[in-house]
Amino acid sequence: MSNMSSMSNMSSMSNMSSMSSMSNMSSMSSMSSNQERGWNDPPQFSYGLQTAQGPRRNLLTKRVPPPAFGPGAPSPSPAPPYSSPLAPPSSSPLVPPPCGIAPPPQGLPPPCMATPPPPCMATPPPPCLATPPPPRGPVTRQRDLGSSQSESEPDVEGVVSIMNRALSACRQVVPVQVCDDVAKRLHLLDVSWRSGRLSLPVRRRMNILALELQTGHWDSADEIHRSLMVDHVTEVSQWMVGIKRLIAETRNLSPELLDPAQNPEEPVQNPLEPVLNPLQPSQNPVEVVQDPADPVQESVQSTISQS
Amino acid sequence: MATYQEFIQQNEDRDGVRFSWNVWPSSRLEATRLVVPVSCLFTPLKERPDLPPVQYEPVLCSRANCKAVLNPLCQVDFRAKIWACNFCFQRNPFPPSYAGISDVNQPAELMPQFSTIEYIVQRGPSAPLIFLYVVDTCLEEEDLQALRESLQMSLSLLPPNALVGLITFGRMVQVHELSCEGIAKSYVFRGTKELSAKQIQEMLGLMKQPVPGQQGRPQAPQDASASCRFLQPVHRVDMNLTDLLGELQRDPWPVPQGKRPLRSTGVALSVAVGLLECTFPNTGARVMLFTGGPPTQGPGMVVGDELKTPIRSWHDIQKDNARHLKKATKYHEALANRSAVNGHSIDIYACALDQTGLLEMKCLSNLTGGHIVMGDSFNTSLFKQTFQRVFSKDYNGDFRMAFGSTMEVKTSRELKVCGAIGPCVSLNSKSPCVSENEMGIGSTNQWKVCSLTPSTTLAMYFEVVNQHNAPIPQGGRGVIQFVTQFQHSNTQRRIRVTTVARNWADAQSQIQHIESSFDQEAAAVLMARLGVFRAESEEGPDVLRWLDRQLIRLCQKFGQFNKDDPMSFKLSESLSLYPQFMFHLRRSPFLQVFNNSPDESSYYRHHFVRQDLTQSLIMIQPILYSYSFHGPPEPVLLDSSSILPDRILLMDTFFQLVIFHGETIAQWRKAGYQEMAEYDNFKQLLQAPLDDAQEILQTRFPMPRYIDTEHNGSQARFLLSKVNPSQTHNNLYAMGQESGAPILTDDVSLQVFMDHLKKLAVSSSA
Repeated sequence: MSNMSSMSNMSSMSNMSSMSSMSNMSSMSSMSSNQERGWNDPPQFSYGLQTAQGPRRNLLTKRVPPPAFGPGAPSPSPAPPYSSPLAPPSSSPLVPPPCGIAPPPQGLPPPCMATPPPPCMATPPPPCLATPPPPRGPVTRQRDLGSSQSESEPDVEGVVSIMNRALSACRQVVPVQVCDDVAKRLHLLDVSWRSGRLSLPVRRRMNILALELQTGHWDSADEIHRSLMVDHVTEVSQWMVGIKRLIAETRNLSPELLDPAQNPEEPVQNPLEPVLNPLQPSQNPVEVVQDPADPVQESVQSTISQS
Repeated sequence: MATYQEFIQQNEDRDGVRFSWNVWPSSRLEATRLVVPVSCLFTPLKERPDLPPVQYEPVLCSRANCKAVLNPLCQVDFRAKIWACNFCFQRNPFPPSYAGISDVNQPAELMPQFSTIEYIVQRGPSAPLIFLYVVDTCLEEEDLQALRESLQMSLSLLPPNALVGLITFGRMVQVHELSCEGIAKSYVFRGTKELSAKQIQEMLGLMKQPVPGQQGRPQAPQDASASCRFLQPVHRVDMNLTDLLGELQRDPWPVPQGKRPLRSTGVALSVAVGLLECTFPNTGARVMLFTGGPPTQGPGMVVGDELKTPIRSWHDIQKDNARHLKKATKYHEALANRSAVNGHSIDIYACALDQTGLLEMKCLSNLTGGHIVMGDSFNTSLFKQTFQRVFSKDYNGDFRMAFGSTMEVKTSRELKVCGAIGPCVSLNSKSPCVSENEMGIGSTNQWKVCSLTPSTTLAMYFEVVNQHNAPIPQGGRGVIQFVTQFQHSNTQRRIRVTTVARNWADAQSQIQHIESSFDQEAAAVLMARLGVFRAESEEGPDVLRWLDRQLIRLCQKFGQFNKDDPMSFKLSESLSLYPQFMFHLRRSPFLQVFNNSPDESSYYRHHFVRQDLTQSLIMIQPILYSYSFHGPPEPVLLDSSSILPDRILLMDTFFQLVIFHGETIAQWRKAGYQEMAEYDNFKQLLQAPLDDAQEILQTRFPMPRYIDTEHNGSQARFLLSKVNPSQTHNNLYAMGQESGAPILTDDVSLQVFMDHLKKLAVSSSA
C-alpha cells in the first residue's frame, strides 16, 4: 500500500542526495533509505552531515491559536494565516487556479494553460524556507581535503605502502600478534582494492587517510576512519579495524621509531609541513606533531576544519 | 524584565527548568484551586556550551539534614565570612579556602548568572564506560548481516578505553570471552532455566577472583579489566571482536514449520545484569539488547513458540487473556530494579514487523534510563542512524550520555516535593521536604537516573505547605535546589547544581498576577505526564475523565464569563492554547490505545515521559507548516481546513514526519512541471519542505518515520488522523463550502469539544 508514495519518496530523496554529493564529494550527503525492509524508512545522512555542528536553524515549532479562543475571541481573531481558496485568485496573476485537473503535459504545455503553476518569470520571490537556509557550518576536514584531492584517481600502491611503513615502524614495540593481525587486514584492503570492490569515495577517502597518517594528523586520520565505517561499513568493515589499530599504535610510537615511517626514501612533501615547522626548525617537522596537545598542531587543525 | 514569555525562555535556557506557574500561590488551599500543581519540567544536564565546569567541590550547608549547596540566593556576610543557608537558615562559616572572599571577589557560585553551575569532583579513580552487547541471533540473514555491520561500526564510535562485552542468544545463551589470543571461547547457558546472580557468577568463574568493587567504589580500570575476561577495552580487542561479530551465525537450532524460533531473551538479560553486577557495581554501564522478536522460552517469555497463538493484543489484555503478561512483566521488573541499584542502564533495540514484547520489557529501559528503539528491520536507516546517534558527541567532543546519576531536590520550608515522573527510580530518601501526597514516583527527595542525555527531562511536582490561615508573607520567594551527581562520559564525577526561586503571591488579591505567570506549554506537558503515569495503572476512560475534570476546573477558575452563558466565555492569552493541547492529548497515542499494539503504546509512552518540553509538546500537538506560492511557509492550524489543494504540508508528530502534497500540487508534480526550467519556482516549492524535514531529521532521536504522500494517497491517513476533524462527512454539506478536506470520522472536533467545555465551565450547577 505504500508503494506509490514510497517510490516518489525515493526519487525525491535521491535528488537531494545527488545534489549535495555533487557539490562536496560524498561525505556531506543523504543517501536513500531502505523502503524494502522498513516501512517509511527515513533518508540516511552521511557521517559528515551528522557531525557537522553548524549553528542549527530554528526548527519549526510555531503553532497557531485556534481563532475561537484566542484573546478577545469575539473580535476579529488573529486571522488564520492561510488565505481562503475561495478568495478569487484571479486578482493576482501569480496564483494558479485553486483546482481543476491538470492536463497531462503533452510535450510542453503552453504557458498560458490554466492549470500549471506560474512560470518563474512571472513570480516574485520563489518560496523561501520557513527559516533561512542553513549556514554551511564548519565542515569536516576530510571533505575539504577530499575535494582538493578529488581530481586524481587514488593509487593503491601509495596507500598500502604508507600503511605498511607505519606497520613496520610499529613492529619494534607492538606485539607480534597484533602486527600480524593488522598485516592480515592490510592485505585484505589491498586485495579488495585491486579486485575493484572498493567504490571511488572509499578509495579517495582512504588516500586522504593515508596522507593524514603519514603526516601525523592522528585525529584527522581517525575521523576519516570513523566516517568510512559509518558511511561505507559494508565495504570496509572487514579490514578497517586494522587501519584503526594502526592509527592508534603509530600515535603512541616514539619519534625515533616513527621517523622512518613518515620519511621514506623519497620524502613526500606535504604542504602542511612548513606550517608545523617554524617552532623547531632544526628538527624533523613531524616530531612537532607528536604531542597531541601541541598548540601548533591544534591551530593548524582548527584552521583546516574551519576553512 | 519584559514579558513572561521572555522570562520563561531565559530560565529554560539558563537552568533547564520550566514551571507551570512562575508566581506561586501563598497557601495550600489556593494552590489546590489553581488545578495545575506547582510543578516543573527539569532537564538536569541541559547542554550549556557557555558554562565551563568549575574544578572544586561545592560548599555545603553544615546542618546534617540540610546540606544544601551554597548558591547565588544565599545571604553572605563578607566581613564575618559567613553565609546563611536559604533552605534552613543555618549560618555557616566559609571553608578556609574562601578566606579571600569579599564583595568584589566572589566565587562563581555566588554570582547570579551561575544559578546553574557544574562542579568537577574527582573522588577515587575514574572508571571507564562499559558497553555490553546482548545480541539475538534468531534473525533473518539480511537482518543479522545489517546488525553485524552496525555493531562493528559502533566499535569505531566508542571511546578506545571503553570496556566492551558480547553476549549472544537464541535457544542457548553464549557469553563470549574476549581475548587477544586467537581461540574464541564462550560460556553457554541453557535458555530455559532461571539462574540466580550467584549461580551466574559461579558459572562464569567470577567468584574465584578477588571480587572487585563490591562496596561501591569504582575500580581502577586496570584492575577491573584484568579481572574480567568478558569485558575488555575496545582498543585491545577491537580486531578480534570485529571478527567475532563478522562470524556471528544465525541460531543453528532448526525452527519447525509453524513455530517461532526459541529466544532466551530473559536468561540472556539476567546473565548480562549478573555479570555487570559483580564486576562493575556503581560504574556507568549500558546493556544494549538487540532483538528481532519476542522472548519465547524460559523466564520472561512473552509468547509461546506456537505461531498459531498470536502475541497478546490490547483486546487480550482487557479480557484478561494474556497468559504470560504478569509473570513476564514481574521478571523484567526485578531485573530492571537490580540493574538500577547498580547504576546500569538497559537499552532495547527491537526490530521486527510483529511485536517483540516491549510491553513486558519496557521497565528495563524505563527504570534505568535506557533507550528503546523500535523499527521494522535492522537493515533500515531508521535503526542504523538511530543507533549511530546513541554515540553522538557534543560541542566538546564528549558523548551525549552520562551515567549513574542521583538527583536530589531541596525546597525551602513553604514547599514539599510530591514526586517525579521520568526515567528514574526512587532512592527512598526521607527528608523533611518530602510530601505525603504522592504524584508520580514519590515519598522521596532523591531519585536515581542510571543514564541521562542532555535532553532527558524529569517532571517534578510540588505542594505548598502553608495553611490558608497562615499564608506565606508577601514579598518572599520560594526556593528549589536540584543537585545532580553523575558520571560524565569522560568518566569524571561531576555535580550540577541548579537553584531557582519564584515569588509568592496572594491568590485572592493577585490572581491576575498568578494567571499571567502561567506557562501553558509546561502545564500541558506536566498534566500529560500525570495522565500517562495514571494510564499505566488505570483504565483509559478513567484517565480521560480525570483530565477532562481538571480542564473544566481550570476553565472555571480562569475563564471570564457570565454564569450560564457559554457565548460569553473567554480565556486570557496565557491560557489560550491550553484547551487545544488537552484536546489533542486526549486523541494522542499516549492516552488512546486504539489502533496501536501494546508494544507501540509502550514505545510512545516511553519517549513521552523523558523528552524535553519542545519535543513533548510536538508529541501532544503535532506541528503543521504550510508551503505555497502565496508567501513564506507558515504554521497553520492542525485542522482539516488547512488541507488545501495548492499547499504542501509538513507535519511533525515526533515519531513521524509527513510531507503531504495537496491535490493540485500532486497533479503538477505528477505532470513533471518541476523538471521544466520555466517552472523552477515549482521545483523550489517542492524542495522547501524537504529541506525543512531534513533539518528535523538531522537532530531527532530516535529517527522518525518519513512519509511522503499526497491527496488521496493511502498514507495521507497519517495526516488525516491527526488534524482536528472540523469538517467531516457529517457536516460537510451543512457548511456549504469545499475548503479543506473532510475527514471520515465520528470523532469529536475541537469546536464541539470547546462548546461542551464552555457550557460546562459556565454552568452554575457544575
